Amino acid sequence: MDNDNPKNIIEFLFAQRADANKELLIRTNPAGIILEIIGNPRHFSRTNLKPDMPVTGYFPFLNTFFPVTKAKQTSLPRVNWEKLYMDMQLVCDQNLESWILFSDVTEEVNEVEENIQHDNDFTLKHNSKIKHFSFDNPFGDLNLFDIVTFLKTKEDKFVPLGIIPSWFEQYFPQLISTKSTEDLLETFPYLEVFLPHAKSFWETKKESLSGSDMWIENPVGEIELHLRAFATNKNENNYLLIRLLDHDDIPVSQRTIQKAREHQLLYEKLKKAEKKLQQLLYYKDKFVSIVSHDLRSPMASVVSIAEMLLTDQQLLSTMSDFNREIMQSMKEELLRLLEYNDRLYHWANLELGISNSNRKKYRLTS
Amino acid sequence: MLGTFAVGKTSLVQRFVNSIFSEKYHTTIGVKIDQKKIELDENEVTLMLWDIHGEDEFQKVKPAYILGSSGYFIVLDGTRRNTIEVGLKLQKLVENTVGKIPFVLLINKVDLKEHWEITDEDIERLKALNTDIILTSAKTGDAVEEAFLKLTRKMLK
Ligand SMILES: Nc1nc2c(ncn2[C@@H]2O[C@H](COP(=O)(O)OP(=O)(O)OP(=O)(O)O)[C@@H](O)[C@H]2O)c(=O)[nH]1
Ligand SMILES: [Mg+2]
Repeated sequence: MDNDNPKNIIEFLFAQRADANKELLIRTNPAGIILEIIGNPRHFSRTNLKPDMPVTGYFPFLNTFFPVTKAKQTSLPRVNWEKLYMDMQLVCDQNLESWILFSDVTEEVNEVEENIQHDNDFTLKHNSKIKHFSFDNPFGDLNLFDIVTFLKTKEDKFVPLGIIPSWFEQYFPQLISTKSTEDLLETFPYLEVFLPHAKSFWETKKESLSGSDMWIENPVGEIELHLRAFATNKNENNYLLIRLLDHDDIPVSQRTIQKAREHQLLYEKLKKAEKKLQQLLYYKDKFVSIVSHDLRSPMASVVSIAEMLLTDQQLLSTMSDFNREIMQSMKEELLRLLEYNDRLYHWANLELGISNSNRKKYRLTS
Repeated sequence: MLGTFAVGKTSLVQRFVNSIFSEKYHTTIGVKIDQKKIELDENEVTLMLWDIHGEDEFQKVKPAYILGSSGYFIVLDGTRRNTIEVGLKLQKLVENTVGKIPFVLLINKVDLKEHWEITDEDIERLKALNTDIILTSAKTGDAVEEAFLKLTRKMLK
């Protein structure tokens, strides 16, 4: 579909369903602040939905989708929220604005209510793995978001709720029963820093979410899981959620930071190499400057001797024409060399940043 | 384990806990906690090693990570002189957060000594921190065990 055109997005979203009374479309900015509300908000939230408020204030389970970092289209799993069952479509356009379409599917779900209830029932079978725990998850099927939900009791025990996400069942089966804070910390020592923070949040009774930073678990060998914990409240009860993050969820993705740090290291290496090169160039210029300087005097002396000889009429008269010519061209060659050396000297000093005010004048006559 | 990115925090922990080393740079995103039991003067000590992601503009070390710690390493990379600055900054952060608790300064990658930018004069100046300075190599294992034992001893005192 064409993500660029909002009209298309609305049409696309509404085309999915027919009953406008049971639909709600919310547009948010990348941070999840509501920009526009289309449809029937009353039907979906007890509190009055308002623009300029964070959408997660009304629907906390959307928290992990904001802020939006890239355009994408997602069908969210069915959620049970405030007596409603909802399907949600999330479309993030090129401007990272999100369109969220909520559809009430309670009726549809009610038809199979009995079966669902049956599924959620306590299913501790003999000699088989525990998949569900005794209590329903008041937030709905958060397991579909890779979230495991714990109810925190007044005695600081943690009770897993609803369906356990498969990653949790696979790697942390020891925690699928009522656990003490110590048990939890033994498996997730990181929570030591989050639980005090969570505790103060639970005391506020706020029904929004408060999240931890990311931490890493190595349950087996090479497997590396990135996790985040959240504290939330509902109906005076305290909940702890632990979510497995997939690649897209990591705020500034792993790869970006990895690349940036690699680039920084490379840059530092290049800088080091450049410094070395500058040093070498400096030595070269210094060398040329010193050598050309030291060559000046002896070369100038030789030129003087040649000049002296060429003015000695008595000597010249003893020479053949051929020898005299050789003598003359020798002097010219020497002069050329001297001039060349002189230029080299000044050039090297320029490179070294030494001003050539001490330039000496040479008589260059032939 | 505190220090800027790529100084070798993860490598030092891996060398100490699992006796392994990898040349490949895999930056730590988030916090990684490892456990190691050691025998020290007939005491069994369990170390919880918090390998905190590198401090740079992407990820900052939060005071919350430091609050429960009983000791720490400041890790520098001998081949990168600018790792000193971040190291000193983090040391200050810890001191301002939990006060004076034991720490040891590690200058890592001593196997690359001929490429070091950190000079003997720098090291002389770092002595002002008034703590042990140990030159380590996660690659060869040089002084790694010694460093962890040294810090553990200081923490137990
Ligand atoms: N030669 C040498 N290389 C090392 C040594 N220690 C670490 N390295 C290398 O340095 C790079 C960074 O090591 P890490 O252990 O990932 O560094 P870090 O401090 O955990 O980095 P961040 O997680 O990004 O903060 C890797 O390529 C390692 O192989 C060492 O002692 N000698
Ligand atoms: Mg690391």
